[in-house]
Amino acid sequence: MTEVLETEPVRAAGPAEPTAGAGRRVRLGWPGTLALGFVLICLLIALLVPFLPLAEPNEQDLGDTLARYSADHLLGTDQLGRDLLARLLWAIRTSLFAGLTAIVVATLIGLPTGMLAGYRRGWFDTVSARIADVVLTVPALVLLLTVHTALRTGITGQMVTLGVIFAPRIYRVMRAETIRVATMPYLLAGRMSGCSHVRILWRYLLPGIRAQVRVQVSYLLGLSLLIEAGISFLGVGVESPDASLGTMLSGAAAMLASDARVVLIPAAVLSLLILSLNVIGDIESEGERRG
Amino acid sequence: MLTLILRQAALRAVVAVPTLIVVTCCTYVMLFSIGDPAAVVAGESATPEQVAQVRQSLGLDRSVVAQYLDWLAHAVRGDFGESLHHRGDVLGLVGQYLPATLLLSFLALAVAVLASVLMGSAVGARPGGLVDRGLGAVAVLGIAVPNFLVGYVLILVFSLWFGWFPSGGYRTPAEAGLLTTFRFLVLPSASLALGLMCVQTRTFRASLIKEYEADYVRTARMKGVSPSGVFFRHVARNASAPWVTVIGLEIGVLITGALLVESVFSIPGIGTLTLEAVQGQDFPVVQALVTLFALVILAVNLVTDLIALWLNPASRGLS
Amino acid sequence: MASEPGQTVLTVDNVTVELDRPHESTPLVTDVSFAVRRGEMVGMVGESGSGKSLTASAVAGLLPRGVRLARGAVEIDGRAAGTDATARTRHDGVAMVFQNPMTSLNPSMRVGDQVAEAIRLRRPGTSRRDARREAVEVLERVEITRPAERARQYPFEFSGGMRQRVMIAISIAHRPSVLVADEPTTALDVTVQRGVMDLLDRLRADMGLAVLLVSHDLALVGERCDRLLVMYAGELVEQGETENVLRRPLHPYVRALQRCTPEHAIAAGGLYSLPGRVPQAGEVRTGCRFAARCELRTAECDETHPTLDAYAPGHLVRCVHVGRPEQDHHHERRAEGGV
Ligand SMILES: Nc1ncnc2c1ncn2[C@@H]1O[C@H](COP(=O)(O)OP(=O)(O)OP(=O)(O)O)[C@@H](O)[C@H]1O
Ligand code: SF4
Ligand SMILES: [Mg+2]
Repeated sequence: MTEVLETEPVRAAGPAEPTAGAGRRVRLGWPGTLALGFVLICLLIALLVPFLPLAEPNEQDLGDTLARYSADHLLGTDQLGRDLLARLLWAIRTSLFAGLTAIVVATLIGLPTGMLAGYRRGWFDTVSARIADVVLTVPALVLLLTVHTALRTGITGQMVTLGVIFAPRIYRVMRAETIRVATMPYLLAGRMSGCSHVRILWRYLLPGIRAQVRVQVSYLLGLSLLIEAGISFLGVGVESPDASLGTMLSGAAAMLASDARVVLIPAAVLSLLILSLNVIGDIESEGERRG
Repeated sequence: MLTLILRQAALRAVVAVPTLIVVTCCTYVMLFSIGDPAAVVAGESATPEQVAQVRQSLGLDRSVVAQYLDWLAHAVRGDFGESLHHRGDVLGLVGQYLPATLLLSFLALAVAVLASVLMGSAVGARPGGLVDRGLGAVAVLGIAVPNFLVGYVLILVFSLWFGWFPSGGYRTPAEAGLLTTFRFLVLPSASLALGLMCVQTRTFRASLIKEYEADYVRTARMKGVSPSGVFFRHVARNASAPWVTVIGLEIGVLITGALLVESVFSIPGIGTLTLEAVQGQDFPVVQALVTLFALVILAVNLVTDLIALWLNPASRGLS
Repeated sequence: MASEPGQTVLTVDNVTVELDRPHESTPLVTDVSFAVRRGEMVGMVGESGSGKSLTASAVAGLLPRGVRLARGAVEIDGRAAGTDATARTRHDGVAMVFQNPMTSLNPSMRVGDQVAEAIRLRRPGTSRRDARREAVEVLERVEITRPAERARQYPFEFSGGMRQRVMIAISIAHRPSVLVADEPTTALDVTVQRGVMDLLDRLRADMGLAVLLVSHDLALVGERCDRLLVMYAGELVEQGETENVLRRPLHPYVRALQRCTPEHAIAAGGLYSLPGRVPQAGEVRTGCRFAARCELRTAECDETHPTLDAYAPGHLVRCVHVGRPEQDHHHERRAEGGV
């Protein structure tokens, strides 16, 4: 599984202080370029899929199951005779949108609280840091399952919950970054010159945030994709007829024997997406490499 | 040294208690106050009056604080209540499903630990080589591929194509003998181990490289320590501390992974129980399982922290 | 000072250290030769990057990765050391003390065990217990109080000065005849420095150690050393008895260096700083390497690479305008206007 996504152990081993500075450049290299290309294509698919001339993804044709590649069905059909290509593209849309929902929610919660905690310190900092510790103790999937037991929300509800579960990660990064910036001399200098403190803080924080966006978004998106796949695979995520990268893999063990293609295609897309996001997140900024 | 470690152990155990209480409390509120167990017990066709009656008989009409304290008082004595669906108490149920999961996790952990030490040492002592870069690429892949998908691939290759290992039909050692059980567990534990192994290998490699650059290595060479002596007596131990810490950090991932892998290979373990309880809204069981997971994670982290402390005494200066 | 007769135990002959790259040779240390006698302390000074540490490491057979011993030989106790071209196998009979005591000890090994390890490597048959006992004795010899108790502690429980004493204990546990100390006190407080230097002095006297002391600090080597070696851009530029080198320096570099010391600054009423910088490795090829910064530079300096010649017995200098006393104008000039 994506261990690196779950805990980012290599980073966790050292202090996770983001070492952002203005004007850092990111060199992609060829693995980074490929990864970024793949993710962008998937995002494009996610946006455009309703406008593409595709078969109806949930339409069954029991007379034409497990069909091979043909002009009608470019990737063939699945065990219920549904067009695999249409399902795959819709699944990419569902999974990516689910992941993005989680990230937006996580940012909406984690960003302001992290900044406030790092800026104000005091009791708010202490309490919020404790809460973050507690939330991070239990694995995200387990928390999600717990919430699902009590509240039967659909996939959107689950992803909002996931966003809440991810919030501590954003919170921690933002808190560290804010502390770093808030203790810098130029901020104090700005205070002397009578500028609005928060405005200056924001101005100097922005480059640091921008540097973190790529890393956090790619790790968390990868992790959300994984978790969406996990819960949908377990049958408690995206509801059954709808395609997501998780539901396409659900109960697939039985399909391996008859037609592995039906499993391997969505599995490969999911793995490649997570891999690409990891690669993008792992790219070191120039500044970090020198440091 | 020993007393210091014991004192640290006690200290950290004490610190872990509030965390455990907050986790169980939040879970309890989520399940028993926001969720509605009475409706589940009463069944879908029950009238509101019937539900209210069930609620009263189960004591769920009391304040949630009182309920939680009641649960806690029983839980510390090992009484996690009764399952809503299964016969018997929750603890017995967990005990019934636990062995398979323990066996699976321990196997996976052992494989990951051994393999990562071997591979990490092989490449960490000589970074930049062909083997190093090859393994590095494989590790990136191994970390990215979700472990239930690894499970599928392993089934496809080793079960369907080669027919070496079974892909389902787990039987306990008591039923079928240890060997059969192990044979069955080969593929599940391999799928569970792969990601962890890759992360561990990367960590060990990185810290080995860092340690080899340290000044004390030069001191050891100055003494006349042989290259293998430098590795075993000096570098390996210092490089192990971060690697052990990562085991602690990864234990949550191992639990999550076990849930999914059990489902792929239909192993009657904790994952299966969890899924059943979640789907059937078996509130007391879910509550007990979350407690169990939190307890395991905190305990493993405690142990790995202490081992890291023992491996690297200098970190005592920090605490 | 250096008059006490001692047998030569360390001979360094034309040692050249280069970057370890396959198809090029960039010398970092060029043709360094000197000798140290039993019981003698010889100082090596020079600006940062002049190749002091590399020379010291080559003597001990502890060259870092990335460089190689291209030419030359090191002889210890009359035996050739370092047949290994990479000079990465420690030479017998030499021990080395490094600059940073905070990182030179293994953080996760008891201090006593680190000393005992050296003892057991010297005498492979020694039992663990005997080695431990002997380690305590060695710790006592480097003046660590309550040595038995401290032997069971870890490095992080020691102060910088104490760690450097442990480092010295490890190095003398070999019973070496030569001790190379690479800036052993640079990382320490001034007050602690004196204690560590006193210890080295005492060990030299007691054990008859030949000590090569690398330092930045002219005052320190002036006080402690019998003879001095001055390095510039990977070469020895002057070598002689401390008295002579410091009181009557010959090489323009050394004379400039002298003006940089605080003592001199007080006397002269201002700190003199040497203009320019040390040439980088591979930068200078022909002529005198100091030419770019030399006040006495002439056309001849850019054409011929000066050799290290005897100006007086035991006093060597590398300068086209010194080395030949009868033509040595600038030396006379300096003597006239001498301080
Ligand atoms: N391992 C190495 N690989 C490549 N170059 C090196 C290596 N070690 C030293 N050098 C180079 O060799 C030159 C001499 O280095 P050395 O460490 O001997 O100088 P030094 O006189 O000891 O300086 P300092 O006073 O700063 O310790 C420097 O230019 C340095 O950059
Ligand atoms: S040879 Fe010339 S340049 Fe070099 S030190 Fe002597 S006088 Fe100066
Ligand atoms: Mg040096």
